[in-house]
Amino acid sequence: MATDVTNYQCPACIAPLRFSSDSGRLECDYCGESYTVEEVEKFYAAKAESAAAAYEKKIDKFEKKQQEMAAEGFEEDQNLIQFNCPSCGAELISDETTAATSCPYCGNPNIIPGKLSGAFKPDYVIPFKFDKNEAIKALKKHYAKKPLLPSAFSKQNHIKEIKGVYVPFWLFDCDTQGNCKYRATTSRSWREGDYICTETKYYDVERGGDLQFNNIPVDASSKMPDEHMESIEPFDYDELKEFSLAYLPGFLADKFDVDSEQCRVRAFKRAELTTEQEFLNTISGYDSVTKVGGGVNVTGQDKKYGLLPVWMLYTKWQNKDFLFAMNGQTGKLIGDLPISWPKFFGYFAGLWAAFSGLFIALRMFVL
Amino acid sequence: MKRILSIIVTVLLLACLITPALAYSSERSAALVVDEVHVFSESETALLLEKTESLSQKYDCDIVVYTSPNYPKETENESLDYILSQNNYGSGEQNSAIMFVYFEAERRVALMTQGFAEEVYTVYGLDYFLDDPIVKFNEGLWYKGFDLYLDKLDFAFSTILSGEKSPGEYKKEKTADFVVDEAGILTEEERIKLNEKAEAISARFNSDVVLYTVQQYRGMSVEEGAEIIYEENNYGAGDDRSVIMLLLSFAERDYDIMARGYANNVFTDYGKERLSESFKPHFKNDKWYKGFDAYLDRVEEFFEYEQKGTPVDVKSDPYDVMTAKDYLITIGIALIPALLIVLVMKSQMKSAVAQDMADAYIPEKGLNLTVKTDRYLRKDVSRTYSPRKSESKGGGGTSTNSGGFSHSSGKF
Repeated sequence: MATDVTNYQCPACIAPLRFSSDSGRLECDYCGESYTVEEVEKFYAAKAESAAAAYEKKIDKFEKKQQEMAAEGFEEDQNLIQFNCPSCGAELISDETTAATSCPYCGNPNIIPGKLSGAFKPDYVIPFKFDKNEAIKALKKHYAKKPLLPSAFSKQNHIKEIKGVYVPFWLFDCDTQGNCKYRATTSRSWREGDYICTETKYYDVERGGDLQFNNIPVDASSKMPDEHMESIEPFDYDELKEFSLAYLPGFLADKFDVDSEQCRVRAFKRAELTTEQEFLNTISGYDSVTKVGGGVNVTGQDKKYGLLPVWMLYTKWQNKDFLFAMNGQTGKLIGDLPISWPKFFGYFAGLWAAFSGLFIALRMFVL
Repeated sequence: MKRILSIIVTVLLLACLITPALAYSSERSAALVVDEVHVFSESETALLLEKTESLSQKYDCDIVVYTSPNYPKETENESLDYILSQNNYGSGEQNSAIMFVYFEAERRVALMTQGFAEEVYTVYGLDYFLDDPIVKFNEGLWYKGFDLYLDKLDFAFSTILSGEKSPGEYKKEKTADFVVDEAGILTEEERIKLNEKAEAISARFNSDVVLYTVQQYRGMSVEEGAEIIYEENNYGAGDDRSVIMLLLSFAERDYDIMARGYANNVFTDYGKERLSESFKPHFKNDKWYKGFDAYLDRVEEFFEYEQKGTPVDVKSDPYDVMTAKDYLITIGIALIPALLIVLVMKSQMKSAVAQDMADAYIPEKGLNLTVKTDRYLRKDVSRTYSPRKSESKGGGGTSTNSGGFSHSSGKF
């Protein structure tokens, strides 16, 4: 029977395979065999295609059923979809964007190839290079040397959830052309008797030119917070691989749900601001520079769709959610931490007292 | 016949009585003060004329003050001879005269004597008569300079005539108290108390200690006012006319602490600033007597420190103890770095921030700059008044002007 969900099984022992970020191969946890991505693709190409076709049919049926239910006055959450685990047969529900997940009953990785086929097929993927344990270590390191972190947060806190996610990104190429005008000044001061004289010289400065940008990433998943996704940049695009489902087992994957045109605005804005900054970087020798006119024009239609590896770590403390993100390729981890206000004021008072003592001592014995 | 003889005798007697006066006034063909350059006002000319005539009669010697736009003859000596002879200056049996002339074009002053005046000149020397007036002339105080010269001349003539053959030091007597309250802020009882205290300190340290209040000093700066008050009232003790004077001008609430002579060693620039701290808190609350009293106490202490060999200065300041206000200011300043550090620590807690730049996605070739122009437009120059107080404080010592005065002024 054709199924819309697939998993990759070890050809030796039929246990589920998992992509290993250490070896960059698909490994079997039961018999220890491992396979390259190409080998697995070869074994399971037919199975993946069959699952994708089944998914298409299922979606058609699903939409028809929804229309019927709507006609009868029932409402159903259109973002949820039902499927069966190919390992244990358990009935599973996932949201509409989930393309790879794991079964909560048997723990085996499941892939829904139909979510990442056709128009939703990514061009590229960057495989994970850091595993779960390294993500946990990075989080502990993130807690270190943070004097204002509440002691209870790092001691009592347990990570509620940690998941490796292939996050959908749009990667934009664009060109900028611009011409900016500035008013710049230099000034010097000298003393004439009891007067301080200040001479200020004014200049008109103009800079123009063009600049190219490659693969500015913009997070295409509405589920992912944009600040977190931008903060873990940059990714090393030298390691971009042609997309293959074989990279997904063992991780979660989402398909995009924010279209490229919406994301392009953000990418272009960043390109515009960067070009203006590049112009400014060429202006030197002045004491002040103020932009007075001109601007930057951004053009470019080229875009790519890629899945980039991110570890998402979630915890809850004192009824507040804390979300951390780690770049699964470079290991850069970010996330806002809670502030202990008693510590904040304690440090403030301590430093204030220390500086007061120091200044009073300087005032009394040195000055 | 007898009647005719008696008339002739009466006329002869009258002629004998009148002749000296006639002779005195008729021989001179010009006034004793001739101001061709117009450096004096009319009233100043009148005052100088009155003084020169009085002195000329007193010593039977023409005392002449003369300003000329240039040498009337080729050389200075010829010019002096010409002015003297042309105007028939000279009096008494020895045809005595002393003539002080200013030649404007040549920027020269010259003194010429004849008769008895030559003896005075020989005993006292040229410097005695000219040095101090020249200081005044350099400050544009023409009347003051000539007036001072006449005072010195008066002193020199009187000492010579009294039989002294060596020059005495010219010293005017003070014409005012140590405490003068023109602004009327003290009761008479308070003024007398302060005066006694100032006089005692003055006598102990041989340096006049003066407190002076005015509403406004003739539209001048408080520093100029202090110097004029010093000269007009002949303040100053000892050979160097030492004084420490506090002048308050109420129109602008300006004060000036002025020192001269030995007091310049006692009250350095830094010391004067320290000294002002003794009265400012009291004056701020209009406690005038208390302020002056505290000031006099502090003045006495300054003299004592100087006599022990360590005048109050930047590097030897016995008053450099922190006040409650100093502590509060220091603690207030310490708040800034403490706050900055904890804010930096707080900012470390937030790391999820939107990135506006995309410089990581620029290829190696980078920016292709096609327009690069820098064009100079204009320049502005502004001047801000900022007196050099910190410099004198840093180096210590006392800065004096050409008149030998040092000042420290401000608002009270």
